[in-house]
Amino acid sequence: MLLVLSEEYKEHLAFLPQVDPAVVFEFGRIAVEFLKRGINSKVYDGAARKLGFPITTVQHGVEGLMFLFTESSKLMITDIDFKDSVMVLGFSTELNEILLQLYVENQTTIRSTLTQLAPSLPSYHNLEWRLDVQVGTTSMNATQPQSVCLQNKSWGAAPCAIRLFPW
Amino acid sequence: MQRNNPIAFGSYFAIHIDYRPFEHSPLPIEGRHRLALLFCSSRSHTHTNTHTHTHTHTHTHTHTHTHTHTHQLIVHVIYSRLHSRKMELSESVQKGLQSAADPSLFDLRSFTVLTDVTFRSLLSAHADPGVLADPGLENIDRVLVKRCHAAAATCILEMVKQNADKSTISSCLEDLTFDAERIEIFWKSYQNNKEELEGVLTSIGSQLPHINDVSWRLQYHMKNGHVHKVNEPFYLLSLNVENSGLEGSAKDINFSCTVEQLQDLVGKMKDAAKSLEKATQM
Repeated sequence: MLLVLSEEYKEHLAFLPQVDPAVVFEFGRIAVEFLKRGINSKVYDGAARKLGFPITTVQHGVEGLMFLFTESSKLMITDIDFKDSVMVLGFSTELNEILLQLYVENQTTIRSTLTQLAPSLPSYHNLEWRLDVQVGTTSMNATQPQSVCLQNKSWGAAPCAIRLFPW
Repeated sequence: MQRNNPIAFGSYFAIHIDYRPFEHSPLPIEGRHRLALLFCSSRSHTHTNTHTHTHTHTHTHTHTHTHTHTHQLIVHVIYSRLHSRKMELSESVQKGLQSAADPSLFDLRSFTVLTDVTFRSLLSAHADPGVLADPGLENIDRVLVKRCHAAAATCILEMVKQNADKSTISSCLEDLTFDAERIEIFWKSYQNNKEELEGVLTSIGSQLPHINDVSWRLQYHMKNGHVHKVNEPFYLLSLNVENSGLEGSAKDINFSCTVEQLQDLVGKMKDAAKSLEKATQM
């Protein structure tokens, strides 16, 4: 399954072939970091100054890489499909290899990060129980235990009991 | 002197508590009980009020001490209620029962009818205003009948609550001038209806919402907006909860869990069941 990349997207990534492959690798690494930890715009400043490109270009580039990785991880694209999709961008083979390597290394982590974004139902967390014996109430002094209770505490639920009647 | 030792030197005062024991009963119960508690403040309590207000105005003083002594108060109340052996009946109840025992007011037949009617009215689901219109009680003064009926109902509930045995009941009724025949009639009715009354009393009172049933559903998660090809099965569990308290039915507990989480849940429940079994065998 191939990624569908818009023209605008290709424009954003157009400056990548103009820089060193090492820099591209660095950008890829930064992109993955941002996916894990959130965006830190100071990095854009530093990179832009070092490379002599305007900040927006650097920003688009990194964000473009982020998009590339998230979409690929989301769709669980195989290596071959990834290579084919990236070829559309018109990069050199070396660049493609770098991007593929980054993708393969980080696919699982990116997927787990994305899973946290998905809506979730209230889910089971833990069950704590305890055994209680009811000896008496305001209206009844029981001579023998009337009922035995287990108390359940599931995540998000108030404690409730399972009442067991006398044996 | 320890803070938690209620008996200490220093000032002390008595508190009388009036309370109604059967607040949720369908019948208008007139009985009231009084609990006298001796309440001592410990010397170590540095509150200045302790030393100045002695033997006066118990009510105003309870407010300042409610915090520190409330738990002691509750312990006293619970202890005395659980362990009281004597039947404590208020004056109006005693008078009502004495009237019921009096042959000049109630002959044997109408006494039997009164006993039956009282037990029946305690067990019926709805309060029936016509319960005292039984033909067996026709010739007796209406007010008297009502008073005796209320007194008998209070007495019966108190006996059931304390699980009184025959000797306790006999001695209590003898003190109230009941003759042996009437005690026998009362005892027979009491035995017949005791279990049901116990059930009624046990169901009164607040309880935690309890779980009756569980329903499950197995679903398969294929994809969501952020991740495709998830391909994981998961369960949706719904625990059916009933609350027999006054708040009405509580909501069901709904949650999802993966297969591993469900195994964990079942494992913990099995542990709980095992420990319960061990406890019952001891």
